[in-house]
Amino acid sequence: MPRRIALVEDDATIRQNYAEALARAGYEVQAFADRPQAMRSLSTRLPDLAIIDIGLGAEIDGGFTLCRELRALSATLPIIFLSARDSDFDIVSGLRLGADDYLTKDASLPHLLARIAALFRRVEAGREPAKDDERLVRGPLELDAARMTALWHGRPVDLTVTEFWMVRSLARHPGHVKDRDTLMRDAEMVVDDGTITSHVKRIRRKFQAVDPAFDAIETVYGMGYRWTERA
Amino acid sequence: MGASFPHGIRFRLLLASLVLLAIPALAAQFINRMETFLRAAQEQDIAVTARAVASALSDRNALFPPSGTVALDPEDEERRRIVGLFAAADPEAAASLGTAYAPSEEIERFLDIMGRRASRLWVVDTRSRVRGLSGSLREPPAQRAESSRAAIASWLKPVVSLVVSSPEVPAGDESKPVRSQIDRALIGVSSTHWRGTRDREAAILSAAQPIFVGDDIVGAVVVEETTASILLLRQSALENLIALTLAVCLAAFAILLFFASRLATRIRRLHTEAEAAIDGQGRIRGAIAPTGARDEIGDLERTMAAMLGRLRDYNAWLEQMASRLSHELRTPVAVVRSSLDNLRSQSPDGEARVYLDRAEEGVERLSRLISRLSEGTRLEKMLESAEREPFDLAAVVGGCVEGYRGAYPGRAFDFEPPGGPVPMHGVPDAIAQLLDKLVENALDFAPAGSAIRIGLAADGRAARLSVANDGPPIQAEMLPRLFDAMVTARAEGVGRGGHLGLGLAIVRLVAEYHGGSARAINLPGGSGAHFEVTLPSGGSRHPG
Repeated sequence: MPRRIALVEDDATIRQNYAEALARAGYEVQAFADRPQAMRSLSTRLPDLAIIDIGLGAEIDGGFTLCRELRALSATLPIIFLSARDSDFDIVSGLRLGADDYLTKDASLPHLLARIAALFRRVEAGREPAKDDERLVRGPLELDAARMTALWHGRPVDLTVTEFWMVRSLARHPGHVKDRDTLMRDAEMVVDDGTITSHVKRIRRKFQAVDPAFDAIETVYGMGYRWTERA
Repeated sequence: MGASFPHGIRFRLLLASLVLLAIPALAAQFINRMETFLRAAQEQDIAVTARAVASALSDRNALFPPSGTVALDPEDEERRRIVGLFAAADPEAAASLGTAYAPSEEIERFLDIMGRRASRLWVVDTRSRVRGLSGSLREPPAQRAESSRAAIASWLKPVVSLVVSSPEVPAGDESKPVRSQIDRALIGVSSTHWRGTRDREAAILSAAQPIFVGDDIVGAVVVEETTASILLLRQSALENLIALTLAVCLAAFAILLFFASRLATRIRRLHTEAEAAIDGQGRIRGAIAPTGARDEIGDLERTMAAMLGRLRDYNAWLEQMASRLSHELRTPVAVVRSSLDNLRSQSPDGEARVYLDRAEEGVERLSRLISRLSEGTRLEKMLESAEREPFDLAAVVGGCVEGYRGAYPGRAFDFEPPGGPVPMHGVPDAIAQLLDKLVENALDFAPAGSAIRIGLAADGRAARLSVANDGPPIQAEMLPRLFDAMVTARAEGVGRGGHLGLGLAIVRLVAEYHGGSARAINLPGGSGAHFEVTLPSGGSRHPG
């Protein structure tokens, strides 16, 4: 049985393009143009994943409202924000509301599909035994690529898919400087330098919430970032 | 912008108020007129008195016995002279006459009846003997004003004399009438005559009138009066007027000065505020706070404040335009991109694939441009929420230069790190971004094969970060606007890097956020362009 994805997007052309691409990827797509319509349908039967635009027609922040409402219905439903907005403020607001990832509309369809797949893997992985080759352990850091989960000193760090990939890219080769382009590629992002910076900042903050002494991600100005392991 | 303007409002108003000085001058002129009038009146008056006395004495043979007919007894004469001397109101005058004083009792009695206060009457016969003397020119004492008045008068005197000159009269002997006047009267010419006095400024007015017996002139009457009363009147009027007008003038001056100062202060405050409101680049930095005054300056303040507000709104609108534009453009770009992605998934054949690749490349470029458009706004938002931290500027710059060497292997980067660390307090990421933009700009314009020179110097209070290239010089008129958004000095930069001139705006934004400044200069001889950013160093906190 195919997974059901709810797509809430007010622009008809984008909606159709995305819906068709998702359908081609083997998902069952329910497309909605506005929040009330989406809420009416989704509240009766929750989808397996929701892709939501922030600005929905007349509702400037309709996507945020919808995200809150869906989160109230289900704590585990994967939600991806897809928006033309790219300000840190919107990203932070979206993630704080419990979205699992945030993409700007610059992202290509393959990028979007990679994220969707990753989120499904994360949901799925909980039910399957962990495979060793997908586990990465660097000192106190444990990454499980199958489950898309990160542990720091055994405590879970709640990373989005994008952030998980960035941490994985850095931690795979400790001491090596990863420039922004590499990070972007590894995290399947189409963003500019500034967004990488704010992503790294958010990752640090999430680790610091677990361990205030966290300083494993080092900024190498002009080049990028580096995962450092202390002896 | 100093405190004193030689051409300021205050100075001009004071200059204009000098006209007020005409008031005391006019007053003095008026008093002079009045004095002339009073003198004329007194002249007429005294002439009338003289005529009256003369006509009363006329045709009285007994009073003026023809000479020789009555032999006067010298003893009797002497006795009468002495009696007259004692009886005289003006003994000094009488005494000075000596033997010429030959008073006649009848005449003197008559004169005492006719005479008036503060006037002196003489009756002289044809042999120049004074037959009668009555009254005195001496003022009764204590008529001169009280001491306070005198004090005011004494210090006003120089001022008064500056404004009016006392009438010029020849000085003369106050004790005796003028000889020539008597002589003229004795030949039938009546006249009035002014003369000065020895000890006072007062003048003596005298009128002479012949006394007839029949058709013969038997003597003359001389009536003398001082102008002391007029003088006194004039003096006190002058003093009063001048004191009053001076006080009024001073008050007017003071009020004018006060208003002018207030006006000047308010205008200067407005000037300072207006000047501080817009900086050299035409950006709005401050505000004008209207005082709520309901006059023209208040109106001007309000207009300027409103103007500034509208300008600020407009500037904000312009600045946000790029951000809004990028937002608006993202959706159609997403339409194109997702369509292309879908098209690609249809596995197109060879030729279609080529066009698809080109279309995707175009969309990619478009998307990058759009992202740059909102870079400034995003950076501003980032700086707003960023936390300042102490860091070593030398390390950041050194790291960045290493990065550039790796990223652009074909280019040379000259960088001589400073001897030690350059401590700063700020956002190192933003500083790195600033340097990125400066270097990107330099790379765009530096000719192939030339080195980009990056410099960092610090003197404890400020750090100077510079990036120079050997590219063509920047047009002089562009230099001050170079760091504004959407300004590109050399048009070819747009097509290649897709700058849209936002890079240098970001440099300015970051520099100003750190309390520094950015500027661009052309190297001498057109050998290149030099961009310099000055940042406060030393790790001290500064207002953001």
